[in-house]
Amino acid sequence: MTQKVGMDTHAKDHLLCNGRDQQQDKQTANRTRIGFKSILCSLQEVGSKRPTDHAQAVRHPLVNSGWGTSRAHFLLGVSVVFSALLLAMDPARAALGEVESTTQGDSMRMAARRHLEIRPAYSVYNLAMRDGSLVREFVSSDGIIFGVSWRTQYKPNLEKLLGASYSGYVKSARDNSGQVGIRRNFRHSSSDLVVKSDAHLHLFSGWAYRRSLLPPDFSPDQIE
Amino acid sequence: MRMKLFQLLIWISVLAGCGGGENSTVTTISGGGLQGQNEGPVVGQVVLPKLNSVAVTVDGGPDGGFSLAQANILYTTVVVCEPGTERCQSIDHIQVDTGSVGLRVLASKVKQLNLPSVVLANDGANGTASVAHECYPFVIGGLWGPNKVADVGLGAQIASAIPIQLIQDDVNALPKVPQDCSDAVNGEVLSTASALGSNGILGIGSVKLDCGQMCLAGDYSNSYVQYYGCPASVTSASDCRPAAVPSNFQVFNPVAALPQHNNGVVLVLPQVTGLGASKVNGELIFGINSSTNNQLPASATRIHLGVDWQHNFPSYLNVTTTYKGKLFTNSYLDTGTNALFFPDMDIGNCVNSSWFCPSSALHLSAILSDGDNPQANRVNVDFDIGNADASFSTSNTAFPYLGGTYVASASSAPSFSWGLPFFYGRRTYLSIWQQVGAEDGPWYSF
Repeated sequence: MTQKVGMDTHAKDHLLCNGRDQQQDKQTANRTRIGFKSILCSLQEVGSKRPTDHAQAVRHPLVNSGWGTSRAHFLLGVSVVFSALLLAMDPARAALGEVESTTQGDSMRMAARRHLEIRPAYSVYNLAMRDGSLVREFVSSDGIIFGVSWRTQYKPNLEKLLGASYSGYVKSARDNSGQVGIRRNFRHSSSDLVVKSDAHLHLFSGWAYRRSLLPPDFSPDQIE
Repeated sequence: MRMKLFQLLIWISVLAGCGGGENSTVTTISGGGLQGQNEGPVVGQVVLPKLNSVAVTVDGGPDGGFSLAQANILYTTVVVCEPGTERCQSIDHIQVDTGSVGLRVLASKVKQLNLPSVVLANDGANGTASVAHECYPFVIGGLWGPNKVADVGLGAQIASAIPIQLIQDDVNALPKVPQDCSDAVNGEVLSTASALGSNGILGIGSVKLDCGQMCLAGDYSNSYVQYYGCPASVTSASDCRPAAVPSNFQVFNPVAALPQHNNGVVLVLPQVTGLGASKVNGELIFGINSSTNNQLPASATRIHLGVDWQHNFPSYLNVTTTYKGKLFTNSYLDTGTNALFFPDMDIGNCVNSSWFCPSSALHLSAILSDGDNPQANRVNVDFDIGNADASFSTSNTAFPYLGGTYVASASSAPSFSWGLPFFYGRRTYLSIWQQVGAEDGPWYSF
């Protein structure tokens, strides 16, 4: 997996790290993957840098099991070196099933303020747009986006939000197209992907998650 | 088989023929009576044209015949004219939709007319004048076609020279659907009467513009392109560019553009019971408190749609439903939804279906209240949910007890869609925001 680095020119991060979360990050690092949040919080921990508005930020690399936070720091350093080179690349798409750092690409695409909420077993990136629209991306402690939700004035680009899961959604939509005319609500439920999508006037709302990616004991009701 | 001959109407003569305006007489054609083993009655009176109202029906749709997919679709007839002329076309089976904004008709239904394009002065291809085309997405599926300027006749009034959309139903027409539009509608461009279940859609929702700020700015980066500017003699969709469209060029709510009686609508539908009706007749009245036939009783409660998107986005242009102690912040009345959709794990679904299938009809109730303040203007609503399989075993087209949910939905799903069954047996007032007379934001009353 290649590492990517970008400059966050639009997004405003509000990263919250407290003792519990840092501890969680260490646990995370010992699991299969570590995420963006983990690296930044680790940085704070070592006192070297603090993420600020318009700061260079890491699109985190996928780190295999067994790599520790020191390895993450090393990768961060490598990333910074290459940052200028990679600035011209399109922002990575944040999407269901993708890694946490791609939320940054979404906040750039949407010109959205990004606010991170850290909860005991997962994190939520809130991407708030100027017109009040909100996209939320739910990230497990191993750095994978397991759910997304949206409340937007206009139809959100679901291909970008659902990523690799989008084709399953489209197939389901076609399979359910027996109903004629206007559709204001849609549900898709498969063995893995679950999607709810509603629209009325200028309010589109919905959510999607993949059962296989949900954190242990996580209730899908929490994706709102 | 329905006769599909559309006559060119001389609109002014229609106006003259109406004579008494809103005092026109009402003729009762049918009071019911079973017309077949498996067919319910015709319910309601046929309303003759008035100054500020049109007849509406729930029936088998533009193809006339019985269709499995045909359920609870409300239609009216709309007259489309070349602006400022008497060259007009009457189009039947236009779906009445309070959940969208703007008139959209199949292009083939107005092909005898020469409707002017919506010309965007400095946008679209090459920065020169271009003609507007629109991609209008629903949750699933959507519409593609050029924007035109038309006079739209509703009742005996005309909404003069408003932008509408033609739904492109000529497979050889250019430009083809752009890729971004195909993506926006999940690859399902609805471009035939059978796919639409109608010859077009009359969007008369609570606001005036079909798009608003996103299209004003022409910045579609968070969504899909809605308006395109295409060269006048466009051959390829790739020549169409995302366009910034001034508000007076965006597709406009035809009711809001009427010279009078333009601050909302009153939908009057008769009571329908049991397994339904083969046909329902009702009336769509334009204006609220603007005439003797659209007076809101002084005692009526107005349930306000949320407008405070900055602080309460989930209720934007929605109201609140309280059902079985649970709050549904994303609730709305919508003639364009064909059933009541809400999550209730206590009501069984039909086999392999998301429709409700209780063994006997359930009498239920909920409370509707303001969108921004759920404690304000609370009104009780009684409703029934019946067995959808039983309803669909008939050849009816109007189903008063039709409801559904999706077993997969999380219990936190906050939406309660009050589709067409809500409107049966009610006189429902729906105001339009920012119209004179609809002074305090959009609201419902019934």
